[in-house]
Amino acid sequence: MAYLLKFMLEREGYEVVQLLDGMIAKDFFLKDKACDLIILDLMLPYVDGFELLQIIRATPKFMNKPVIVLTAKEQEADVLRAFTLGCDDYVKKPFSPGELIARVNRLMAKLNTSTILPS
Amino acid sequence: MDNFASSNVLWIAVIVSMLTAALTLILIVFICLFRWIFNAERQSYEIFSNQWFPILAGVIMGETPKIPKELNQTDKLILLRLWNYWHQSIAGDASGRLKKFISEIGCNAVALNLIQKGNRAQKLLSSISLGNLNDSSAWEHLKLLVETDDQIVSLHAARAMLQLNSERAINELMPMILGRAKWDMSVLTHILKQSRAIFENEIIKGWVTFDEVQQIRALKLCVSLDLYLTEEMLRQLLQINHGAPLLNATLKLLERLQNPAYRLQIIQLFDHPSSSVRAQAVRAHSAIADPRDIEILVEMLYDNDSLTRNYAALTLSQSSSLGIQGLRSLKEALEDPRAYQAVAVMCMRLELST
Amino acid sequence: MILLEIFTWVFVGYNIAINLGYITLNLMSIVSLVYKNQENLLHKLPQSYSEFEYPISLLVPAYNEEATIVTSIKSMLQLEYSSIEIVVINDGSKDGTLEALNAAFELKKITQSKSELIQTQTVRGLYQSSQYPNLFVIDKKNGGKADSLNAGINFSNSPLFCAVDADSILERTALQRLAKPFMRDPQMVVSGGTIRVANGCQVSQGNLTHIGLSTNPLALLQVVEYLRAFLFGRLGWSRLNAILIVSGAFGLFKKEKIIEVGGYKTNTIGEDMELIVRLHRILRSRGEECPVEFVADSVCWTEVPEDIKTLRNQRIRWQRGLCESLYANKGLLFSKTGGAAGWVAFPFMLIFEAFGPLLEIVGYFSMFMAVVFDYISWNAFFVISVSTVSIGVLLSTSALALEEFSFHTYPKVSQLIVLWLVGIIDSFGYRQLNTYWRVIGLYKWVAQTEAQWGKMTRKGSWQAKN
Repeated sequence: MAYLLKFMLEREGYEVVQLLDGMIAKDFFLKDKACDLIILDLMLPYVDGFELLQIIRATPKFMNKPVIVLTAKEQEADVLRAFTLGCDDYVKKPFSPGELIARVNRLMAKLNTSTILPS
Repeated sequence: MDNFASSNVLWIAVIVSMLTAALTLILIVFICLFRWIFNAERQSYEIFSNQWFPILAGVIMGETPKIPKELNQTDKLILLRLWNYWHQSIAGDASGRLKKFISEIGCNAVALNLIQKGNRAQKLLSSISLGNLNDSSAWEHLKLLVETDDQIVSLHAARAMLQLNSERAINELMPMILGRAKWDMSVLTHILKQSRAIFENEIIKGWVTFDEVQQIRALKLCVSLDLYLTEEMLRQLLQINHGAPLLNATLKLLERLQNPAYRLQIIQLFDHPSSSVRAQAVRAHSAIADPRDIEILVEMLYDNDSLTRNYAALTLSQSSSLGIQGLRSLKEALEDPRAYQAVAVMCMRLELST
Repeated sequence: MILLEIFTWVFVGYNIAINLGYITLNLMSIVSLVYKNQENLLHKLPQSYSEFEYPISLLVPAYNEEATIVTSIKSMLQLEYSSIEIVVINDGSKDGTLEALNAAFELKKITQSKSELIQTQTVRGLYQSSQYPNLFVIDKKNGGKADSLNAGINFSNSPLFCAVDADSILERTALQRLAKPFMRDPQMVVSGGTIRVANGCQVSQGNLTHIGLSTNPLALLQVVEYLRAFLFGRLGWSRLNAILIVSGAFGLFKKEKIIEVGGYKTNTIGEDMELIVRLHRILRSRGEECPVEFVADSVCWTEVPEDIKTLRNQRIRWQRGLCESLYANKGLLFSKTGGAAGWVAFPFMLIFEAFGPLLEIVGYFSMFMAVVFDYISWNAFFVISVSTVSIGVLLSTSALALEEFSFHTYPKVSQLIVLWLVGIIDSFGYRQLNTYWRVIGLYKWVAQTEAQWGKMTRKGSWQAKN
């Protein structure tokens, strides 16, 4: 699915960086690299998705960037937790690609830039 | 040991050695074979995916695909596997586009073929595919698979049938859904989720024809599907002369329903000979308890079964008319140490939370 | 010397019997694995049946685990399962285990209705994490691993519980797979997973990042040993529904049944095995079934001893545990309602696993004496040894083949070669060493039962960890 995400978003004109597991993602965020929007899967290998979300919200550079959580976890407790930790949107799998792009576009329009980052 | 025996043993040992050496060699060959097959398959899958990922992704985005070459049987199989994964990961219009594309390439035909002639793994793949593809011509073949003894294959064939025509499937498969105890409950619940209403109707219609075991299973499924049947049925089920398993299943349902209309009937079950029923009844009563019930709940504090006592104490602690003061004085009035203990814990809990 | 002759024949007979037994188990496992393999497709598709799985309580007894407990629990929090509560039982640790947990997970004190279904040592406090509402900690007076598990059972809110060691690493899908037998069979009582050797694997933050082989010879020998034990030992017994051992390090239990038979026994060494044997005995004597299933693809990784001393102690302890479990539940042997457990598995365990080592040692000795006294020629001795060794090699190779067929765990061919060679070396000393240790264990057990056993108080001895 990571492939599909990259494909769709690049078609829309965004620059995409893929972080395929939790360790790499953690590294990226802690090293303060740059991106404008994050699509986060809660079930990334090696690191808890919620923990990543917390790291993102704690790091100055990413604190205000929009985060879309895209995940198979559909229980209410998980949704609430994600929003409490500061995500901007929560998309459950199976997801509609068209819808996801619409959400990304909306959040990016607010920022007015074109670099995004899926995990 | 004389030479005679020794030579016997010797011969046995020699034969055994040769046999095992031969078998070991064969196994080593097998290991190499397995490893080689695994690597080869993985490689070809990678090449295949590299080719097809862009095409499938393009189809999802609404582009017209360019098929690289004519696909043979094996290719179509791998494609089906890939497709099923993608199909179950995405929803909406995109999913429809993917479906159309796969049918156009002819994967349907492959699946239809395999479901009759393939081996076990292939039958599984084709059932799942045909279900996801909504191919109604597969109905009869799926029906055959559902009737086999194989739990996994039959269950997934049932799933496919539900995807093709849920009403007809539930109608025809009801005896199996209720009868096959070895069908995975979580999978069943998942596949019936989409057609809950139809399922409920069928249960209600066919209730009188079900035996007790089937009724219990039906009740369990209703709990996990959030279905509550009819008042008439529930009242009929709550008779005290019914066996423990049936009553327990009904009470679990009522616990979730939380309808005060059943209060009195549930209280009647506080006298049931089986401790599990009493415990379950007190638990189900908890959410619909009434101030008038305090006396009978106190009686339940003296029950022999610890679970029942605990649930009774819990209900009492939640009674607004009693309050923490009332609970404390109640506790002091209790003569039985076990009852005292049960209420004491609840008091402590209340105290800590205020 | 007639005696010598008898001994030698007995030894040969024993050898044939035990090997035939293993080979049969092997064949049954092959069938199981082939069958299971066909369902691989289901694992590769997105799993979405999660909501309707039975909730599980993951019980983690911990004693002096300050260094690793936080990372272990963090990795357990990421297990793929819909409804899981993690209950850490701090068994009166003398170090900062509780403090470490508090610091990492922000614990707050809670109360819970005390349903003391099983007697345990005093519980000093109950805590819940404010960050992770499904993480709980029980702080109690030291009482040993069995006692801790019982406390966890008392506290647990779920119909199923899984007992894991604090330093075990569960694969993410392990619980999901382990729960499947319960979904399929309403009467299932226990399901057990596979244990694999984590030595030599890269572990980061409680997660297994890279699978590899250790360079330590003892660890390597144990890798092959575990493969044999699980892949055809447990799997084969599973087909007969006669599994007597579910390793305590990794098993999923139906709580209600465990409470019915009294929970874990605290004055025994092999509490995990003893529980299973007791389950078989009590449930069957009531006319109930006791379905126990082994799930080969549910994996738990654990560190094994790398030095002789620790390994020796472990094996002695295991043997004692085995004998204790069998003896405590001797009612199961040949009991009318025993089923395959009472009529096949129990006798097998008794003859080949409990007393077997003794027979083996006597056998080796008498063979050697027979040669010395010229009752067998050196040639014969040599050939007999070769045949024994070759059967050992066959079994090890077979385990590797099963491993390769189903799991492909070790990606490099060199690793397979190493394992195969180790499988050969196994018969040249390791096996014999094990046999010797087990005889010591057997002796210790006999000596113990003659002594006043009831007086032995277990002070939360965590040699269980070694």
